[in-house]
Amino acid sequence: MITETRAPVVPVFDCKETVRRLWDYLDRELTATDMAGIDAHIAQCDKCPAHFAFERQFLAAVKAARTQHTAPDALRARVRATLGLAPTDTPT
Amino acid sequence: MTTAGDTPHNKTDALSFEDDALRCLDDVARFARSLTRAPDDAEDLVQETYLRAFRSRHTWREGADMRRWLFTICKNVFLRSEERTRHTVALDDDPTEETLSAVQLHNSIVANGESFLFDRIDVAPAVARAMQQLAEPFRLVVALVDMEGYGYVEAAAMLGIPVGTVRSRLFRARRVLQEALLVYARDAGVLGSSAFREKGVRT
Repeated sequence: MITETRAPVVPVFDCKETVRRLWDYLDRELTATDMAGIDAHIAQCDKCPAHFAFERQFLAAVKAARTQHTAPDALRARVRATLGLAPTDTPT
Repeated sequence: MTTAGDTPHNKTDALSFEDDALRCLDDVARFARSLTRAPDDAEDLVQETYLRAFRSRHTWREGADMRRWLFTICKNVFLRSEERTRHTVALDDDPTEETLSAVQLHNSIVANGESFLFDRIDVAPAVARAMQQLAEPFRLVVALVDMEGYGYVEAAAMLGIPVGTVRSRLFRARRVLQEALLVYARDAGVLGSSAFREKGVRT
């Protein structure tokens, strides 16, 4: 007996359905088939790619902002002291 | 044989816990800084986080995700300190509406000839400043998802809120941040009527 494996059907999204999924798509939170559906729409749409490109730049900028914060040496020393000296039975 | 409560963790376990915890210090410090409005508050938050982690070390399982565990403690400590402000924020936005608002905002940006925003300026300082203006529930989700890379489900588990709430807060926060970036760019003279004319875009 031959079993046939069918590829999942890629949904067809219009512009409104696509932009409704903008953030979920950029966060890679959609199902694989929905991701493929958005990819397919973006590949043939004149308008939507600009939205996605702009928001992708925005997310990259937000992520880039986090690199400004690292633990100073003084804080590292405080934490080391905390880990080494704090009693385990002190009430919180 | 040792009995829990009689004897602290042995030397090997203690070193392992400390090493794992200290390895996450930069991440925790960065996360704390993204939550608080002042560097001194962030450092106090980090120290309190590690103090509570140390006291709760018996609940930590070896091989578990130390970074995520410390982030959760850090968030809890922070929320307790910020509790007085939490009731003032409306939180029940529709995530779909917020997504469409972001698209409308981009339409407006394009219409004003400002779509080159990210090509013209280093927006990182503006993002950091705008983050501090966000109400705490929104700052938390941006810090976890956009800055630290956690997924919606992970962030929801760490914050103890539904995934839908993570989405609505995140999407609203992003819109607010974008609006703040636009104001920053316009105030800095990077965007505005001159940029509009330069790009030759019709209103």
